[in-house]
Parts: sequence; C-alpha cells; structure tokens
Amino acid sequence: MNFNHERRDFLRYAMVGGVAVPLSFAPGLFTGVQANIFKFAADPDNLTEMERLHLPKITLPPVVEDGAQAPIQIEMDHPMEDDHYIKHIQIIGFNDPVQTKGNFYFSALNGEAFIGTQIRLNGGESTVWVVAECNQHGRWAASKDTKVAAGGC
Amino acid sequence: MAITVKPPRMRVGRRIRKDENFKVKVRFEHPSFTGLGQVDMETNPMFNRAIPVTFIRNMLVYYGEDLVSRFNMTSAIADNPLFTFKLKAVKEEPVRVVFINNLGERWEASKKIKFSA
Repeated sequence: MNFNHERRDFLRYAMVGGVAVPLSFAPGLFTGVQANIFKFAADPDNLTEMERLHLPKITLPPVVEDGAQAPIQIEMDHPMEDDHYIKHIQIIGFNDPVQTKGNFYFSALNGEAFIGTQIRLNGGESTVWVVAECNQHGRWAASKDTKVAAGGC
Repeated sequence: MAITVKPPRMRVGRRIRKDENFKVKVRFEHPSFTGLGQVDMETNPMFNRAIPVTFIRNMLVYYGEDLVSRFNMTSAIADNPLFTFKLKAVKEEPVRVVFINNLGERWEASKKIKFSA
C-alpha cells in the first residue's frame, strides 16, 4: 500500500515536472534558458505578429460554478499548412490533484487549431495554463484565471 | 468491470464548402472521475485514492483513411464531455471518431461529409 502511494507520487511528479518547473516562474523572472523552453507575450496589450499567431486564445468563464464541468475553448490564428502548423496543445491546472487535463495533437488537415471541452478544476482561485507547440517556432504558453465555486476533483 | 455507456453522437455543420473549415461536435456520455477524495478538508487536506479511476484515455479522429487528430486525456476531463474541433473540408469522405477508455474499451461514431452546393 505504501509502495503504491510513493509510486503514484513519483509518476505524477515525473509527468508534470517537465512542464511545471519552467511554468512556475513568472515570465518577468525568466532566465535565458527557461525563456527558450516556453515563450510568453512580452506585452499582452501589444502583441507582435509572431505572438498573435502563436499564443493560444483561452475562453474560460471568470467564475465556474461547478468545477466538475468547467467549459474551456482554445483557438489559434496560426495557419495549418503541411510544413508549418500547431502540432500540440496541452491544458494544465497546477492547483489540481490531476494537473494535466489533456494533450491534443493536430495536423494540417485540421485547418485550424481549435479544441473545446469541459475539464475538472479544484475549488478556489485557479489558473489554467495552455501550452501550444508550433512545429517551427516551439512552445508558447498563455494562462487564464478563474474562480471555482465548487471543486470538481 | 465493464461500463455500459451509449455510443458517442457526432454533429457537423449543414453547410460544408470545399476547402473551408467546418466544426465537428462529439458528445460522449462516458463517466469520468479522478477517483480522488479528501478525508477531511481541515485535518487531512491531501487527496487520496478513494475509488477506482475511470476516464476516456484516447480520442482518435480519422478523416477518410487519414488520422487527423489524436487527443490523449486524463481523468481531469469532465463527465459526459462534449468535444469540439475543426477539420478542413478537402474530401467527401466519412469523419470517424474513436474513443478508448482507461479499461481499453472502444466506441466510435462516424459521419459522411458531403459538400453543399
């Protein structure tokens, strides 16, 4: 029994650790190495063309009443061409016991990197991170804050 | 233990024009729970395994013979989720969505795509 508990913890940290460590730093505190792993909007009010194309747009209600059914929608303006497309979108909530919600892999035939689903969020204030990976320009991260009235984990 | 669930239901837009993107919605009434619970919020706020975990692990989207998308989910996806995604209308062939849960059970739904005039 004790062994299972340790193994579960190890698997959880090993799976999430690769994403959690770089994301846990605020963008302003990034070192050069960390900034190369994930790219953020330098100025969210004035996005460059590169940022506009690569940063995921997250639609999440500011207040979620039922954390077991939090609707989330992610869309991107990025082109989906054979040699330049969004290959992967990941949804993460670090406040939750199950932090990775899903990995969504796309191809050029999708025409648009778009996903809508419902996720489970823990109660209280929560930040949902979305990481989008372009096959040419790397990983880009954006987040959205929400308040969850009743936790759904 | 096998779970009895209804097959997934798929909807696509009525007007699909060639080379334009169209939206696909798939509702799958499958239970999903993390299996985690808190014994006591005050004295023991840690989550522990309370019941067995159940969730939709994979969703594969085929357009004709091509595997277009692969969604790998965890137990943090809600019960009875409605998935929405887009495809580019390049051919009049069926769209097929295959779901596989964490017990290895498999369900699928498909819809033939026809271009409107």
